[in-house]
Amino acid sequence: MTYPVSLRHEKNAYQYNKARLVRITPQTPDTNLYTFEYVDPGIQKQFTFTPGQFILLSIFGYGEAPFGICSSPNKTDSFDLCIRSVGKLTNVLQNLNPDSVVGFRGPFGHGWPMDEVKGKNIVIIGGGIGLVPLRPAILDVIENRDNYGKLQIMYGARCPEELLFKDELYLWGNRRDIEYVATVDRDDEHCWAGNIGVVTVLFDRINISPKDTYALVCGPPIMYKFVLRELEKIGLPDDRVFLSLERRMKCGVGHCSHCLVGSKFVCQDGPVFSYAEVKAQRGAV
Amino acid sequence: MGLLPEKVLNEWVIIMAPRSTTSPLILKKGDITPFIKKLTHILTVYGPVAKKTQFVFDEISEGSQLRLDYDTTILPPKKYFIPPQEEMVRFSLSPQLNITSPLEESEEATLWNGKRFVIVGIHSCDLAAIKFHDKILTQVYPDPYRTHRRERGIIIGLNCLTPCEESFCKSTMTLSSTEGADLMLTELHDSYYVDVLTETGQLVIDYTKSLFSSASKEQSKSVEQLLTSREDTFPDLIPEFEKLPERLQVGYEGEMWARLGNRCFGCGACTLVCPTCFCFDVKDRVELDLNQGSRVRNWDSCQLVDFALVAGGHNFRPTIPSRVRFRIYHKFWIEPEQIQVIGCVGCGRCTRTCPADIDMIELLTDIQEGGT
Repeated sequence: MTYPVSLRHEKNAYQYNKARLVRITPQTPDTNLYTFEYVDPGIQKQFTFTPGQFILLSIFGYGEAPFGICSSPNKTDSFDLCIRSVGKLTNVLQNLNPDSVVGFRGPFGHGWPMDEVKGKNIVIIGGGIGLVPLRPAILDVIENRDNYGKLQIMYGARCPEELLFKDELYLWGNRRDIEYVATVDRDDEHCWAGNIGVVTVLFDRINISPKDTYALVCGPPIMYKFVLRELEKIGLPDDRVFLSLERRMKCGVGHCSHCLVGSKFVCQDGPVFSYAEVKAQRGAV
Repeated sequence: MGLLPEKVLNEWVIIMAPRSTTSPLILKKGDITPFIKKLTHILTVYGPVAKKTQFVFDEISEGSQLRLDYDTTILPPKKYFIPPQEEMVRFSLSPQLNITSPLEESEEATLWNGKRFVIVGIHSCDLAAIKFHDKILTQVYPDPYRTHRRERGIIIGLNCLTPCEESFCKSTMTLSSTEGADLMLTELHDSYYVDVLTETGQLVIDYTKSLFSSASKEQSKSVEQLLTSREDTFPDLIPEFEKLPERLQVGYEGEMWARLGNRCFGCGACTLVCPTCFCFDVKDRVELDLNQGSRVRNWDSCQLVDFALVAGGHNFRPTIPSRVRFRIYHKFWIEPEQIQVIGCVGCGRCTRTCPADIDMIELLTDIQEGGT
């Protein structure tokens, strides 16, 4: 094994780029949309990602954690992360003032197969916060509508107030070129006129044809089990069903071993895997 | 080369050193002390030393401290390439946020002032583990911190002539590993027989030249015999070791994991003493003035409860059996899938360290026999 001498300078995956928090847009009581812009305009200009890729956010003094990028891949002046405050880092984040400077590494990993799905029909299935890494894919389809076939979106949340991007959901629901259905697990406040039940109830509300169709799925671990069963019933082959997996991560570049699923690193081989790949790895879903 | 060896040694990228063609040499045991003395002039020297009834790798300043008769050490020498704790960056929490990385400093800077070093007396099993890390930690991105140290550490290996307790290096085929070493020593009566394996090793010889003499044909023959005879003195405790990945194809749902899990305390000691384990955790540490701090990576263990815990409380391996199973599958199935090398070098440290007396040889034999 030989290394080029300069290797650690050229390909140092532990280099942080500073970014400024532009604004916080509340989404639900515990979830916000955070807009960031790299301090160095050159870095911001060069910043590109594939829908489904993640980035590591550092608030120095508190730590670092991975988050799926949430904005359109075609937006170049800034990027968004949509984050639920559930831990130490995310609680600090929600109290940051605009103009605070944080660090980023990445983007890392493999996102949704956007090239492969060009010209094909797409079914997007999101559960709860799982809609976040799917949103860049949805936005890309909308912004380049002619590049893709039919777009069907199925979205489930625990209750109406936990639905993310409510203004956008309304627009998706009103577009003729998108078939959008949503459900909530329960509606204690009686403010919801739509479907009630877990996301799989939506399979009765929508007609998915397996021909030339790809499914992009992201949600809590329990959701995969049931959604995958439904997709199998419809006859969607395993290599056209894609899932985004979540695991604990410390490095993002295949060193720390926290995110191993079978012999695959979620951080580098994923986070998006085809169901065919996932099936070959024990303990993945 | 025209340059003084000490000058070259300080600029040389050790990991890239080409093979040497020098014929074997002899170093008298009595000359170990001046040899070490001379090395300490330009390098930090580490080697096995006695610590109560056991041995550890530690810094040495005198040749007399060196115990090349050691059986094994508590921790493997991986600690010099992947320290138990290391600062990844330092930061100051001004509004602009200043981040400094040890990797970005000037050419002569060595990872927060670390000197170049030489480790004397690494056994073959631990050499194999160093080569294993060279491979596994460069799969996608090379680990720049380890690479930095690896490029600056000279390795003097030592052939094992007697098996140590709990080890099974003949089965893992690491008994005769020399790859990764720059010089390889074999004890021969009142001397050490020295194979010069790389140009780096040659530089060390050039630097300490007067202490070495050429080995005779008889000496070479004796060493060859000595090394071949190990085939008989070292037992093959886990026959068909290389078939373990295949055997693990079945048994994932077996009952043996629950049985093992019931015995295991989940303390993680096995992973800390393991020469091939490399998982780490990352934490931020802030100084008392709340202005400065550093991001530190620490050895972690897949045996600890929060290893696969994610925000929101979901734990992908919540039980001890699931974590014990993960450790075994990682070493004997996942790593072979990734880099075609089994992640165990047969050193036996996990068995010696385990407070629950879980014996790796027994465990692997169980798997070999199709135990479920």
